[in-house]
Amino acid sequence: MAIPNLSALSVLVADDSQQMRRLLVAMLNATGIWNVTTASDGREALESIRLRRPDILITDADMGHIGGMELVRSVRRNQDSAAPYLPIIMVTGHCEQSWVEQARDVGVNEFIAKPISATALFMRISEVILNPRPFIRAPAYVGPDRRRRRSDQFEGPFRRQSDIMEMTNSDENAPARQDKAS
Amino acid sequence: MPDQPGRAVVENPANHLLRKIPNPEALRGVPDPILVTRIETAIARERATYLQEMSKDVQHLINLLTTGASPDRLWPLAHELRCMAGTFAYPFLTEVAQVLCGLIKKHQTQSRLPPDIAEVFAHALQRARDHRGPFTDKQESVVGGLRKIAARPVHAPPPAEPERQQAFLDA
Repeated sequence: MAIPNLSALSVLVADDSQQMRRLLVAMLNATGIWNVTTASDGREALESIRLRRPDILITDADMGHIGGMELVRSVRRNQDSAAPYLPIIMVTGHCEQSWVEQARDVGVNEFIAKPISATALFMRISEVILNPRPFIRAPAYVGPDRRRRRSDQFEGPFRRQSDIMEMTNSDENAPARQDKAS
Repeated sequence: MPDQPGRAVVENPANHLLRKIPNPEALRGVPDPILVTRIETAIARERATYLQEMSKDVQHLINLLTTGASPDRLWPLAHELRCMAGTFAYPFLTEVAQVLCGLIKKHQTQSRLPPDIAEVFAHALQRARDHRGPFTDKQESVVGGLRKIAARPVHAPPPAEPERQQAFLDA
């Protein structure tokens, strides 16, 4: 085992709790990430993203003014977004299924439920660096591919042009499967 | 709005982050124990600092509750308390603060929380602050009592004595 050298990374922490910001900064520093900036709400975070272009955003879900979900939606969807592909890790005390699904559907890459642990933070950072998912732009969704795994058993419905093209090129049953996509 | 068939565009942006890590193989698998210890030490340091502040925050919130402060004034403290108690693994305090947050939201258009209910929560907060043990059935029962009280309609009459008793940890 070895300790990764993360010193070249920059991270923006957005949280309305001063204590939480302090904790996350301390944890990131301990991980070897020293270039950490903070924002206390979504508005400040958007400004910081525009000015500093961080490598990773770690945000709370539930903040005043522009909240975490709205922040992520703005980063992903705004026409003038400074960094639509920005890897986003959401940290929250809400671990109900509905919150996780909402986070996924606004375009969050990774999700951490409180209480936050050393391993959880490290694993989420590793994931966005080592395994970035393809980026999807659809009328109802913009963000990292919500399919984490590709299943050969999946029979549809197929909603992406790329799926259909892939099947046409490689699948003998393409016509039959294409019907399901239409 | 459901996705429309065939309208999704798939992009594969360059992975700039990977290029910034000289030894990316060290990111694979579980983290190095030395690194975990380093991060956990940082958490422990922050937790110790927070303990003192938590005590002050809880007292401040109790004072606000017992003096009839508006939901607008109660919310930031209760919300912060819920987040931080959760982060630093104080499950009883987390649950009490969580129920209180729901109660405050429910009464956000009122000038204050009903005094009887505010009193119950002030007492529960005090007990939760002083509780250092695990979250057992006894604490669960208290939180259940608080949830029942919080679920009452906004203009309901004051809770009956048995309900208050449960939330006062006397159940």
